[in-house]
Amino acid sequence: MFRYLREYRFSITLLLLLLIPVFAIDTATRTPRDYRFHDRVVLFLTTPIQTVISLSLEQITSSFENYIYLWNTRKEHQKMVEENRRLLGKIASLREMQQENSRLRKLLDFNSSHQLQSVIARVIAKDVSTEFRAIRINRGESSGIRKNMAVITDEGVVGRVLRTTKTTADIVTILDLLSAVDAIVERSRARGIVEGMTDEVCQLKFVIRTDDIEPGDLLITSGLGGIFPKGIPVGTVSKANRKAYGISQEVEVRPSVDFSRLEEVMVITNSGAGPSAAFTEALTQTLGVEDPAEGGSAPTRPQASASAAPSTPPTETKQGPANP
Amino acid sequence: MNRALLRALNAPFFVLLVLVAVAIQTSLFRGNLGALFQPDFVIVAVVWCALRRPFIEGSILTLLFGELVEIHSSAPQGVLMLNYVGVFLLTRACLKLFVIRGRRSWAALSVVGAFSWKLLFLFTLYLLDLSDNQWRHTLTYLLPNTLTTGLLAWWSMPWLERFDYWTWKSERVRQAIEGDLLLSDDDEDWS
Repeated sequence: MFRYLREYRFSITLLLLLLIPVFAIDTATRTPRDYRFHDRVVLFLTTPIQTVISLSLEQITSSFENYIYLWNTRKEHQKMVEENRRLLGKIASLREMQQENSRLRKLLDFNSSHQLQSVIARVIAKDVSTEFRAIRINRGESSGIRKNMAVITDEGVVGRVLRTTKTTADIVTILDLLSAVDAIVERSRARGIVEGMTDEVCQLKFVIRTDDIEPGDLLITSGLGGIFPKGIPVGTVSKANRKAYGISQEVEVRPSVDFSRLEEVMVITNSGAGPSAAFTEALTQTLGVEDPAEGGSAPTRPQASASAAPSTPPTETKQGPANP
Repeated sequence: MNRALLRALNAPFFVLLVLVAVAIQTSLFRGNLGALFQPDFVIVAVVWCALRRPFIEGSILTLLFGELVEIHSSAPQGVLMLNYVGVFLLTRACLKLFVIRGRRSWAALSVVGAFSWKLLFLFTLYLLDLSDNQWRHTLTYLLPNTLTTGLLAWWSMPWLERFDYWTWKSERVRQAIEGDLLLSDDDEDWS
């Protein structure tokens, strides 16, 4: 036995060397990976280093920017004053719209209210590879952050929580290859799935060719999937390529969030994005099922439903790649 | 006694070193410009393992590095590991075909390793049906990433050699590696 092992050790090692990663890929496609004990030990060692480097880097960058761009302050100030005036006007009109909206909601007896509870966190690291685009934040389970919570900034959607430790959480950004967010075009209400593509651009998939989409259109979250509250900006259409044939069109989306300058994010710990109690009750009565996530689903397009059927959190993100 | 202890600590220290390198890589190169010139510290470590470690020890370390990297990535488990194994085997193959000696050769080998890693990665993504338009992105990053990895290897590999010297990776092991390179696979001197 040992003689055989000794004799064929090169072949055995080579076989194991190739089989272990392949086996790991195969298992990863079936069950989403979470942190194991040794992963947490590794993170315990690396997180302080990442935090120190990130903070130092931010300090250096901000000092540099403060010093170098001081000469530009006056011009910036004037610009800001103008921007402020414009925004004040916009706020006034938005207030008017909010009041109108609230009146309409009362009229329709709509009792859904988005009470967003959030945790502010600082970005301390990014994905080790340049092809996947996860980020790490300095808040975790001890701050109430759990898996599949939505992460946003004041600019729009950042992503969702992939996994957590006590003090950190990994976020799959919407630029990540494994991310998929159900979104609608604000103007035409055309619907599709926003998936990651490059460091700066996402793609809107499963959009029917006849849907009205133009460059410059704003995409917002649809609220389906139960992770993101409805109406949060996802990005702007930068390119729409409608071919003469086929059933879908190619749409590129520039995210609302500038990921290259992302420093702080907001993790929504209670969004109320899931179906309301009244909706659940009505659906239960209509369909005769206990959980709408299992038995009921709002009408979706056949193509889109494959990767983002509504109601359950995991459906908003691809569970893993197809089998190799 | 000291020699044996230092030699035993070589591998754990090396892993720790790679861990710190990964932490630096993930925090120092944030932002698009940073990512463009981000060297792959792990490629350098894997190439070093292929150059200076026996096959079995190098394989184990490569798998371990793959696992460490995947903790810091959203990539499906095993994908990065598989590609590092690919680079490890490619480097071993290069060792059999070419004479690799000195700093410049090491750097060149790391450039080849980083280049192949990117292409292998793209191919793996294609097999996993994740490569939608990814080739554009990978091609953009290919040259700068590869070159910075080469520069890093040129700077860091002499330090790694010094580290091996300090921790007594003995002459016997060196001979074992050379035996593995020059002789057939059933060479007795695997440590």
